[in-house]
Amino acid sequence: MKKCVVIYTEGETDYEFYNKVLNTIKNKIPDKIFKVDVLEKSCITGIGKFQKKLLNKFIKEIAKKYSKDYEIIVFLCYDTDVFEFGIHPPINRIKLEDELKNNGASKVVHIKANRTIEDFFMYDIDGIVNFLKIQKPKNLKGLTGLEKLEKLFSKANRIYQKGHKCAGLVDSLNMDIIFPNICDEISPLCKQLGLDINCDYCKKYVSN
Amino acid sequence: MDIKRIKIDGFKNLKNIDLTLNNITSLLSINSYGKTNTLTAILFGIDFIIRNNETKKNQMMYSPVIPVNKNYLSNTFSFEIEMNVKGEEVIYGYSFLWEKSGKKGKIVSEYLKVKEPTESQKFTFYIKRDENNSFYKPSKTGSCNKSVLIENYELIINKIKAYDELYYMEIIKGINSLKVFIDHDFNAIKPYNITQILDGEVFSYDLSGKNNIPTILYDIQKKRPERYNLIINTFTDIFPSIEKIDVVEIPIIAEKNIHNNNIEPSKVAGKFYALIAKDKNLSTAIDFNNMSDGAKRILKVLTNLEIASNDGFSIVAIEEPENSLNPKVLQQYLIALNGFAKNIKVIITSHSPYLINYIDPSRIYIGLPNDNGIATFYKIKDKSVNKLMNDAENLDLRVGDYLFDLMSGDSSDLEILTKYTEQ
Repeated sequence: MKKCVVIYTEGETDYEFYNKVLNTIKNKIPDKIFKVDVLEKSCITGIGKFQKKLLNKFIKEIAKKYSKDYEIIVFLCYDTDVFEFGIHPPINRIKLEDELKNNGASKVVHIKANRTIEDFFMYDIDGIVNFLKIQKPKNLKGLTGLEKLEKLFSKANRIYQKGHKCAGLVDSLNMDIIFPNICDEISPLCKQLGLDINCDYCKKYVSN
Repeated sequence: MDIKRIKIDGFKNLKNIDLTLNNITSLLSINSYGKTNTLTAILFGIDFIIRNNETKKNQMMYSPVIPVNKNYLSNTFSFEIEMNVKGEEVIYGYSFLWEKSGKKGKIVSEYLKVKEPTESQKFTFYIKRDENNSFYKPSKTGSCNKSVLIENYELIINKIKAYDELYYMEIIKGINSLKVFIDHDFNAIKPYNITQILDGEVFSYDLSGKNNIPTILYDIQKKRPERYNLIINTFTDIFPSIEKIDVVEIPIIAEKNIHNNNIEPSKVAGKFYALIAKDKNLSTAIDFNNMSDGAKRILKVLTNLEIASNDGFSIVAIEEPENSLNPKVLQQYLIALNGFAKNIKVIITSHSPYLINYIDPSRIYIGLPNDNGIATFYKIKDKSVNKLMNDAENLDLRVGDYLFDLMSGDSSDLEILTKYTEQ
């Protein structure tokens, strides 16, 4: 059976980041070709009803086209923390998984950033401070990557706008530094796209 | 000064208002309920503390705000504020009788309580006053029993400001310097009109609403360039098509007036200031005044927050911040307000479900509609937040849509709404 992988993200920054993740995975596959027949990605943004919007997009753009002949694997990428200024109520992803499965998804995989996607970014703090043109702080306090990133932005006289496009931020991140640190979270995606999760690239991290 | 809670009673149609303040606190209600009255009452209550005795006398007889609702004819205005002053947990309050029906206005109670840094964490009276007696705490070891002579329209907190030896002078000074600003000016054009500053004129600005934003931004850029950058960066992050904003100073060089030889050229010489914006889709930079009302209002609010922060304001209230704005930018706007309000509590009133969708429901106060014209705001209970969100989700609604739907509904909707609140 043919394979269709769909990736849904919940914010412009997240979308940019996972695009970069995909490029990194592609470059690590020896022949640089994803082992899938269809790869779709979508950023669910807007001012509400994300859940319904995502489901509608899935039905119209994916299920109708591919559900007969393809194994459809959906990746939902999101934070485990609820963002203070996020939409209320937050997306009910358990319900969403059921709805996606009822509408043609063979499998739904959750890529959860623990606790925020900014925790992923913070593995490359050097990239961020270069982007912000600030000095790397000796101590950076904060419970989450989001809090730490907000503090770095503040040092650059900026306010970090979570979920919204921040031109140049994701570009500045060095995935060679970030990737081994988020191996646990993204390995299901690597596997589905054809990157052996025991590849040399990750082995180093796994053995550590 | 970090204000944590405000209680108000007996102002216009307000009854037992009790607001616990977060970084951003929202007041929701139907129209003509009491949102603006609540904000005005906060301003009135703090003004009463900091103004001179003559103004206090006038405030006590200010008829437009004296309660006249026949269902709640309160004779007393009460105000209480809970705050952190220089690391000390403090509760300060007072009440006075309105001057009406031939009876003189009179302060009838006043108190200052400070939490002891001991294990007990009990509040100790530093000021205590009733209709007949007035006391203050003179020393660390003493009790609140030192008598002070006080007039009916005078507050002890003002009088003991002169008692330099008091060990809690920092608290006294802090309370005497409370400041609050209400932004209810929806006019997004006037603040950007060209205003000239004449040579020799001392430039100053405050939050009176008459400020010219380009002039202020020029001043902030000169005096606090990092804060200027924060304002402009935040604005351009919200409106990414704007690549650059510059504030320019344009000198006015007057020639000798040929029609009136008596006027010296220097009398009309000066400068004016303008904001120039460069949009990536436009071939030329434009006067900022030509931008949308929404863009102008956001820049004005951010500038006012900066002034408030720099001038030590504790509360900034913004009426309907969503006004003129596309719902798409509301989330970023809230994040920006939160970012600017590090030392300030922001209170917003809103009629926008889109905006409320992004607010933590436990930080929302609802004015429950009623037939008697009395306004009381109730917080959404912390333990009801999940139920509220589940109920909204089951109806395929967001929280903001659901709350406004219930507020506009019938008595059964009102019953449901009431159950979510702390009433």
